Amino acid sequence: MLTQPDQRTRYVSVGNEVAVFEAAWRQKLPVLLKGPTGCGKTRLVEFVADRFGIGLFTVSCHEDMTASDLLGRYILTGGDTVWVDGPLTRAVREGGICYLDEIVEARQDATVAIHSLTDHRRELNLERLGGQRLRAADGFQLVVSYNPGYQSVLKDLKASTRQRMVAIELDFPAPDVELRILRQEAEISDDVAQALIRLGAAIRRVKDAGLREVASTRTLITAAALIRGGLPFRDAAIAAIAGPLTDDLELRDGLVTMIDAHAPPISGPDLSGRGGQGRSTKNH
Amino acid sequence: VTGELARFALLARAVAGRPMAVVQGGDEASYTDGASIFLMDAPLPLLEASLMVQAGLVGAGSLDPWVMARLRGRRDVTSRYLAFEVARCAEVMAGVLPLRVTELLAPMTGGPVPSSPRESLAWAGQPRRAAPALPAWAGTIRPAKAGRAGAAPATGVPAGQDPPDSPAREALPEHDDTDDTERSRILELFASPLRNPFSSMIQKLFGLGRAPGTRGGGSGELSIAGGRGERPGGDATVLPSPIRSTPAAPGRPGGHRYPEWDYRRGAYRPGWCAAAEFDPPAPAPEAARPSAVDRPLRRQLAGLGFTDARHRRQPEGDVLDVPGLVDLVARRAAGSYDDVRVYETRRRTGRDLGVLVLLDSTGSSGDAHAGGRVFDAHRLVAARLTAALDELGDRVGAFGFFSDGREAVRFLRVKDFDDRYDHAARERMAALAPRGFTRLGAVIRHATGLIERRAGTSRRLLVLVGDGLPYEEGYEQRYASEDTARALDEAVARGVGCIRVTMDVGVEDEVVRHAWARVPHRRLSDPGDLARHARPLISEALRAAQASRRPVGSASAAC
Repeated sequence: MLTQPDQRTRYVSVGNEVAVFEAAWRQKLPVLLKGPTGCGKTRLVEFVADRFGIGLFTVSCHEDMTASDLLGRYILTGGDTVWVDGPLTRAVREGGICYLDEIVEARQDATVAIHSLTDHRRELNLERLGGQRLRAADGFQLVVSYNPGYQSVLKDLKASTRQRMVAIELDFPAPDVELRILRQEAEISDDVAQALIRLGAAIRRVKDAGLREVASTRTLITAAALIRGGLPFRDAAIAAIAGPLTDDLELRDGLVTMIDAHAPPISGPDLSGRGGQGRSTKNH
Repeated sequence: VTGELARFALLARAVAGRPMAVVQGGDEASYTDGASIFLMDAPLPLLEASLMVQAGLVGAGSLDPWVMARLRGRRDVTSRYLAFEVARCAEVMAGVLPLRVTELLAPMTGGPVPSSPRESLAWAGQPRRAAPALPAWAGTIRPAKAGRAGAAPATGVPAGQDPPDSPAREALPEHDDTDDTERSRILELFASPLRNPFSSMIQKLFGLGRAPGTRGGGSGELSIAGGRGERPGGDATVLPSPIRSTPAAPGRPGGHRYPEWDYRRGAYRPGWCAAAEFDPPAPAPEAARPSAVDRPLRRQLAGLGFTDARHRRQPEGDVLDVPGLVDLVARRAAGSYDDVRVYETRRRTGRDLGVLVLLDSTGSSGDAHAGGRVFDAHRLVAARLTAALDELGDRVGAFGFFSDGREAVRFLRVKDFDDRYDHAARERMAALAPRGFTRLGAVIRHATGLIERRAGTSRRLLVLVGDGLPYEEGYEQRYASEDTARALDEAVARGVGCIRVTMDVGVEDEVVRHAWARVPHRRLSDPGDLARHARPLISEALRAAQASRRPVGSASAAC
């Protein structure tokens, strides 16, 4: 779960989020990242951890996660029991960032453990370890992410947890920023990148047609990478965007039609995969 | 061909910013009425470009009713207006138009571009200003048709979010929908842009204006008096005035707009109905308080709606429970051998069922039956069902409903999902009385939305207690039954199971049979029969909903 700091973690700042994040880290304040899936929350955390040269402990939260999964537990070795730190405890001891991804997915009894860490005490209570109290090391920071509007009404973040956090709200980047990101991540031509970005913007406008999610920056990058890897625009976009977004055949047809319309103008080699006039109307 | 064009609907929607149907039409040129795009025949790249331009006009607000009213019968000005608007649209919508379309439109966007539809109109009226040359594939604007669907809000938008000067609601003269060119040049002089008493008089004189007695677009406010049932509002003193989204009376919070299915056109009428929730008035002291205890029913319902839950430290199970195991080892080390609960198992003990009980409180349920009103029997059924589910710990809501025209579909709260079924809720149940009409499609759409927003469970059920007969002026017979059946299909496709229970009062109407044909329903001879029927009925509906559950978000996704 420990992510090795990658010296080349790239992140294109959209607003003041990097500045807010760094100020919060210096002031030892926990951070709440809000934003849709695939808009760069995880990448931002990696970037900051990398920048400060501290460890990053990522936990993907889920329904069955218990407090022990965060704090640690006794395990059996031979005939004996040995305590093993969980990711949160390790981050507290070692002074790294503990990143709880999609925290609302976790049950509330699992997340109350973080309360004493998020205020001035910065302490962790290990009840199962004889009530031991750990003071957080200097570089420690708690970061949680949360995707508003994604969960059912019963799963929302408790107000008492929310209030302890510095909130950073992310959204999909503006077209020019997204263009820079695409070009940086996948080194594709301007035309192709433009076409992908317009396609993404168009799909974001039809979210209420029944898509689970919209085309995120991440899916656009994936499509760009596939194009860079030699696939035609149409195939890459279907594989990276249309396929993951829906299982509904009608919607899929609609998305494929959108992809066809947004294929970049043909110049030189046929990048669109639509050979001349006789485009196949068959759908898969 | 229509099926082939249907797949363009999503592409059009992305640019238009609202659901659009794409159909063949427009013999000479493509056009749109704001809800559908009628495409002329053309080779594919131009067909696509034509579609994008027409969708772009909708998305950029070019069909502004105020402007459309001033374009009627002025063919030259209209085509110049279109040219300026296409140029403006190419600029405003650049972020979502396909690159190839932007390239095709490039020759038009060199010059100055107007900043709003009204500026385009002004420019179009200045003969010396050169308009961009418009290619034939861009299509045309038909002001008389475009004014119709105008800028009606998209599906499910809360009425309160309408723009303050929602142009669709401006009173516009309704003209005959005939060919623009046939209009007399003389009348045109009086048509626009200024309205004054003199021009209105001339218009009326020559039959250009609204004919007396007709309703705007055939869709205006519906009369609520003189129908069957009691006159609504007679005793509903605490109810607010009719919900209407006009500049003078902004929409109320909680109001939502819904489309209605028009089978004759094979398309939705977007934003056609408005629905909102209210609290019923206090009940009369002598009103009957139904006793809601039905133990057999509760026993039957107890077996429904379970989901897996994790149970730890069990004496037996599928996998080892590590903390339990560790404790065991620790205890053994301390010399104790008694407790061996070291397994974990999943059992179906968690409850996961959200139910919305809808009680038909419309005029027709006031009919007499077996010594009382049908309504009282229906209320008893609804009360028992609500009470039983509430006691079992399920998420349950209960509402009465009726309508006073398409702009006033009303839900009366008995119990919201977060309320308990307590004394106050029972009083509200007692306060319901039959009145008004039954615009069932909008009722079902609003109920589906309520369940989705508030139930918070993955198993969802809509129970309608009532005769299920859709009826209102302008909402009758096949039109009503098709819309109702469509609304039920939408609900099931969105994972909300639907059932109907009603008292058996003789032969069912053909309209009812058609509307409810695809949804499980039962006719009870006595409210006590519910216990016997509830479980198979609910299981069937939930199975259908789970099976078809897929992300078909809004009603119009499929058009």
